[in-house]
Amino acid sequence: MQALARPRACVYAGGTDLLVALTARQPWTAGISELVDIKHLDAAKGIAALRDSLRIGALVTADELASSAIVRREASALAEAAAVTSAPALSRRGTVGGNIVTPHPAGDVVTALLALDATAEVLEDGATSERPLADFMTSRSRKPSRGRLIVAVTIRNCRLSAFEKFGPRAAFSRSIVSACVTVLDGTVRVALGGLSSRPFLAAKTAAAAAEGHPLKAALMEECRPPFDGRAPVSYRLALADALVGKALLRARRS
Amino acid sequence: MTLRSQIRVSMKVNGEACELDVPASTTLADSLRAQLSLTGTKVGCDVGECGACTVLADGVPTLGCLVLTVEMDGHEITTIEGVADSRLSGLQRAFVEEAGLQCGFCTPGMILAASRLAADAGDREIRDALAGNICRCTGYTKIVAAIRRGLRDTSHAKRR
Repeated sequence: MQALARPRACVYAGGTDLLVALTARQPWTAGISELVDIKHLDAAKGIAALRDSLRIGALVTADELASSAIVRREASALAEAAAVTSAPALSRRGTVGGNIVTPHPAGDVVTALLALDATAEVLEDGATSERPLADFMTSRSRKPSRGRLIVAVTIRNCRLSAFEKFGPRAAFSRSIVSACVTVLDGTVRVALGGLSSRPFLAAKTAAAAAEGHPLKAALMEECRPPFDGRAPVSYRLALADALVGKALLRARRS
Repeated sequence: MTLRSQIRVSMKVNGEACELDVPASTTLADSLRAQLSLTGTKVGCDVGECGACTVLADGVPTLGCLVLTVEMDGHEITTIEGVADSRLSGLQRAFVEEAGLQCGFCTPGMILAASRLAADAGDREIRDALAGNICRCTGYTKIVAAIRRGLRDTSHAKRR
């Protein structure tokens, strides 16, 4: 952790995003001159079943999530999202922690984590605190680590959950829109990717979905253009409408 | 590690022990090609999207462009040069016989990405294993056929 506090240091884990950014000399990486590899940090490894929740280490990869029997049973939407988020070699490297701090507009794993009411366990100045995941979902910009590290996330167990995504091809394509629906304590939660600069919890869309109302008005209100150039707003809204409907149907049936 | 520091790395590449001094920021694909002259490992996109740089790290298909060489200290790497001995491997021969390539740039990555599949892998499993390997020439049908045949031939050869 001392190394992480150095001003030009950056956390390094799976590297699937950071190495690309460094190679391409993306502006935000200009201040980085040191990588701190955290892959040996035991506290950030493994998936542990708590009473009504799962603690998932920040170093757990998408591949581990997708093949974990306990995740598939207790939070199937997260396993579904992890299974379709990227190609095999990337899935074996990309981590939960990296997915959270990497600002992709439609990160599949993050979309599922939000719908499962995830909190992040953050280590800073030698102390651990629980923070809402949404705290990390606010901005496109990112910076070297500055002494702060996500060690794990905790999600609530939810057997009524489903994840849906749509991208240009079935295998390994970044989602244009992704949707995760959970029913937690009888309340429908909807998280959406691809309708803003980061995935977000869509409370109004969830309320409309729970009542069986049309979703379009809520989706229009909650989406936050501009998007990247891969698809226009109207197309994304139609996709989101269909994907939320499909996920809700599957979540209620599961 | 600072990105510019020079670090000594010991790894086993295609069965042979080797020691390299590399800047910490060097990727495995670059070390293999530039320092070890193993140019069978291709670098297509250099951002983890095309799969051409796939090698085996301790037997697991891994993207050479998204791993730092220093992370491979103490590990075992297999590149396409390590797949064949004096003869082509079963998968390599099947790519030739089924015409599973045109320009051939993606082929080393395809072969290594498929190398962990079971002998009776179906088309679905083959296509899933290749989800991160892009071919811009062939349309994949012949690649899948080559892998299906190569896996079968390899297991027959082993049984004999």
